[in-house]
Amino acid sequence: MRSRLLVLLAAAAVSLGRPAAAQSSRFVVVVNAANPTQTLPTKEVSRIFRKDVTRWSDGSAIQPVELPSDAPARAEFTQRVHGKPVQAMVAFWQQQIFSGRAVPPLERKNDAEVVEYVRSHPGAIGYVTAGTSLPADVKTVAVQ
Amino acid sequence: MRKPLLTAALLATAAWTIPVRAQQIDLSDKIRLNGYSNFEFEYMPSKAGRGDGNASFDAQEFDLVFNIIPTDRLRVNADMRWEHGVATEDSRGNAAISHAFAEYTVRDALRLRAGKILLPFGIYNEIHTAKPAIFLYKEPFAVYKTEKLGGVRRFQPRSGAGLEALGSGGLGGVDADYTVLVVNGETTGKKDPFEEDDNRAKSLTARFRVHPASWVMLGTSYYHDQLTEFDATGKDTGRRTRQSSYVQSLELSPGPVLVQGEWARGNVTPSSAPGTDMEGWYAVASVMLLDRYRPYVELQHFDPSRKLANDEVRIVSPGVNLRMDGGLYLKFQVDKYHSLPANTRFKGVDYTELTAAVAVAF
Repeated sequence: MRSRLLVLLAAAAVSLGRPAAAQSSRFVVVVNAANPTQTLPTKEVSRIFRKDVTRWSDGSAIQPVELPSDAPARAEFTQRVHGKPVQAMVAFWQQQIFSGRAVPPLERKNDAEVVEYVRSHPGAIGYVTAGTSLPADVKTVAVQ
Repeated sequence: MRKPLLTAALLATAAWTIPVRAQQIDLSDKIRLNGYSNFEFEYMPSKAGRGDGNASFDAQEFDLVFNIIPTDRLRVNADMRWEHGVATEDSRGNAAISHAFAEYTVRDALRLRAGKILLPFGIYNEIHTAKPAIFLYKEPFAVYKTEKLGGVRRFQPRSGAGLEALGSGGLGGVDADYTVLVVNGETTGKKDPFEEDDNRAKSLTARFRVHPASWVMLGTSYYHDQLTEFDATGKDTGRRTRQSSYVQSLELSPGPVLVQGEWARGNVTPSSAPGTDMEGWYAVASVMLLDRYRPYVELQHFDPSRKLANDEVRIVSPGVNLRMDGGLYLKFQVDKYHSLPANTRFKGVDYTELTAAVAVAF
């Protein structure tokens, strides 16, 4: 009985901590149309937004951009991609900043500003609320 | 003559300023300014004990953190700190550059730093001043501030001047990161260790961490240094005291739960006297409720000398961290100290201290 309970607790812990595949979401991941990337694994997107990965395959700099911490799309992006709530990532970035290890991705006020940033920066990657109108020089990337 | 000159000057000024106002420059990806402040309160209700019986307020610190990013590979970082309401006129408080370095990214797996750098030892040394980034009232003393618990030295210094190599990447499908730091180390004489070493031996700090899942972190850190032994006239005897420490770290964060634990061992051995073996550990369990309230309980244990009996200290600390708004946090913690008679600081006197803090990150 005790071991069953332990197994159940462990399974619950794993399912709570695991990021889900970022499909059928209220957000879409976007890059500049000049970027050849078509798909990205969820784990790679997480590494990019944690700045563990800072270069595209051609060696150019990745410039991640985020929505504000109270944006619903950010809450869903953070849970699905990082497997954590927004506040956990806010705490993560406070530790990164104050230890001197890294600076967080830039924040833009809304979907339109994220789209504009991605449009004007060839190395940028961001996410916006699903259904946001995208210009021809910004495209979505499938996250698997 | 004077009027046309004035008009021309005004027009020239207008022509100069109008285009600049219309074309604002966004420097947010080149310059970042962050910071934090921390205000504390401590009160020991009992008469006996090492706590604060006067119920003191402490304007503990104000920090500014600068990041200047000239290129996508180069970053300059500096943290300026003012502690305890610094007033140099009255020789009160403390002002310091907590860390300041230049970092060049060769690739994600190799970044190089030079400057004054916080030692990458365990979970908390690099953020020990950044109280808003610590949900506890303070970093666990049993590993990070052992002199407050009767230890002869800390397991490691806070920072050093030197060179660091660090990076992150995948290791067999598992996220991992490492850092290796070589600095002057501690000086035991009058020399400023951030300017000049007092011996040729450099201190070495290394840390390796793996993340088998997004909610699991396992880490190990090592520190080694040689300290100069001086004679009564202040002359280097050529003999060295050796210091080595290591800490094993574990962090589990499934969903709203956060569990941390670290276990440290250290050894300080003078050239002509028996060494001191220290041991400290702590464990913390907490849960985030309603995305705002984090109650927790912390248990700490420190043994200043493993060869000496009856000198251990144990601290049990229940507390709660409240996230009020944005980066504003309120903390309440009760520290129950229990020590054995041979402990040089507490001498077996048990007591309780009530603490509270207002911490802000921006």
